[in-house]
Amino acid sequence: MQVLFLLLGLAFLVCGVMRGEADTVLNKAIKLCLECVGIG
Amino acid sequence: MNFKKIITLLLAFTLTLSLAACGSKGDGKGDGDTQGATAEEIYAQIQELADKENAIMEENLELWQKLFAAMNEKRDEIPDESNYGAYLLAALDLVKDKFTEDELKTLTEGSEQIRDLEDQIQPLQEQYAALQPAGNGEDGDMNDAVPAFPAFTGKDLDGNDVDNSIFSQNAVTVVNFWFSGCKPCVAELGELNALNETLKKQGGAVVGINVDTLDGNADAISTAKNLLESKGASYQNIYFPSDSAAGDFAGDIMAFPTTYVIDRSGAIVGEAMLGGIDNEDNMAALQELIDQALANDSAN
Amino acid sequence: MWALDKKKPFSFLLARWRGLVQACAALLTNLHLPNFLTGTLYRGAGKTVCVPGLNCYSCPGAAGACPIGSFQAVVGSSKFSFSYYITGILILLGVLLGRFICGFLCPFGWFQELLHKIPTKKLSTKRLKPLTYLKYVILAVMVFLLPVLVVNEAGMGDPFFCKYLCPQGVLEGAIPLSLVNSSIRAALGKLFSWKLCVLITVVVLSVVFYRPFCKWLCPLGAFYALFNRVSLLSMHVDESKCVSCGKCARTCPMDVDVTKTPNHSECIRCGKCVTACPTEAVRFRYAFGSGGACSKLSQKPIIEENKGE
Repeated sequence: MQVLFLLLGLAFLVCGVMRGEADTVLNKAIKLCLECVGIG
Repeated sequence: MNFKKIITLLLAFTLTLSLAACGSKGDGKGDGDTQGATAEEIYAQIQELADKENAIMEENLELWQKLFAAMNEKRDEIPDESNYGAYLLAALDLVKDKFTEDELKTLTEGSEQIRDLEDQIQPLQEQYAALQPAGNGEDGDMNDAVPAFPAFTGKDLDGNDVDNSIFSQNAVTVVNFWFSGCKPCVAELGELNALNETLKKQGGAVVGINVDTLDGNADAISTAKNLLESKGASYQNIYFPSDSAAGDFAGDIMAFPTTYVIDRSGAIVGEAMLGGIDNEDNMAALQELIDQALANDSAN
Repeated sequence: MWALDKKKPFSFLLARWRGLVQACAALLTNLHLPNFLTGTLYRGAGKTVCVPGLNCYSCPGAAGACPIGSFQAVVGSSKFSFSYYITGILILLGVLLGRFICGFLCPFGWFQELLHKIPTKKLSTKRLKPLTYLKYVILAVMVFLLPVLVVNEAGMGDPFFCKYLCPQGVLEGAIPLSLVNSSIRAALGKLFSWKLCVLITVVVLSVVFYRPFCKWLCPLGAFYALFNRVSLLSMHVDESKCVSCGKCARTCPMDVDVTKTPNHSECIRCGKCVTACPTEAVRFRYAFGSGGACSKLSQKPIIEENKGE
């Protein structure tokens, strides 16, 4: 059961990276979008 | 207890590591200033030499003042000399009968020294002027360097070449930095377009810079164009290489959206404005800077 | 040496040193300390990965991205409507550690506990149990549904939790930045005022209640809570040692009875029950096949034996 979840988590992770989600995360995290964090 | 000591050491080690690590990573973008440092050095050198000139005069202040008074009377007859020291020598020639031999000697020596100092200053002034970013005046004088938008060459999103001459073509240019993942940046694109229409009638323009498109990344450009289209924004959006002076300037910008008001000479008017202009307060602050730039432009 | 002292089992020590672990975790999560003085963000590759606790990417010192923030960034972008990447990381963290992250590794959890140390009258949250369901609603609605559904012409959605609710962003992002950076200071407006109110409310509540944000509001805690039952790290009660004195349940600040539900979704694995137990019956356990569904399986042969007779 737990092994299943571990594999699922890993699969999701890889799938997400291949989709380009990791780049989106990095891109957003290094530039401060003021309204997005509640400034303004 | 041993355990506590180990933990404290580990913590101290981690702290030191973090400080060291940030020293190199965090400064990644901070080196765009090398040009500025050299300009300051040159400025300092020029100041030193100018101080020496002043010192010469201060030694015999009354005497020099007598000379200046005499020069005033004969101002029109003194031949034009670009070197101030040479100018003084030429003037001395005309008024030498007003001074004793000793006084003349002092004044002549002093003027020659000044002439030599000026000879040293002149090339330094030229270097200094060359190092100033595009926006500074051509006289390259010793004013405190006004913050200016760095010179750049790039393209707009439709592929046309642009460079910083766009500033000189407009009474005022509003430069807006944004990026494609920033929803509030996209939200103000409509207002920016309206501002562009208004400014066009006043001889100004809005220019957008999407920092994802720097270096001409094709995907980023098409994303940016789609976003602009979705908001009906038709004003020019440009990009340039990220390792240029302008690229460093854009790289230092951390918060978005950021808007600058640039006057005709390329100098930045006031401070950077953070936040979208769809917000009334922000729009008012921006309008103030725009009005200031327009007023200065029509006064010149 | 303390390590070989059989009188102090590892669980006991882990519970004792929790405060130190929390401090270290807060530091490691926000390692780029010089940035607090320059008012800039860390922009390196570390920000591709999210940290395990609730820590805003707008914090100058942040070494990684926030799991909740990055989830919203992905689902709120025009390209995606779900994040496999972040969900994958959270599932892994949930199974490997579960709400141990809340109890030991989350900087905001630590912050609330520090506030709770301020000596005032403390109120119990036992009667406020229904409020614990609010965080699941916040997770589903503010973190997932709204960014996906409420979009602009380009298909972009706001990160609703980050924008309107998260107090951590104000505490470690907006405030340090506006202290040092004058243009950011000038940009503070009504949205900031609202979020500052949220932060102040959470601060005041944290003095009086234990970890109110974790119990009622945190969407990250809500997600990890779902995995408490299948997490490899669990609480284990040795039935042979337990004398049913009830001390553990009375000590538990999250209102969990570890003898009845050791892997309850509200348990943040703080280990106070471990320290309180007079017979050392409660301990941490890290293994496969523990608790939840699996414990029923281990009882099956015994039942069948009884039936057989």
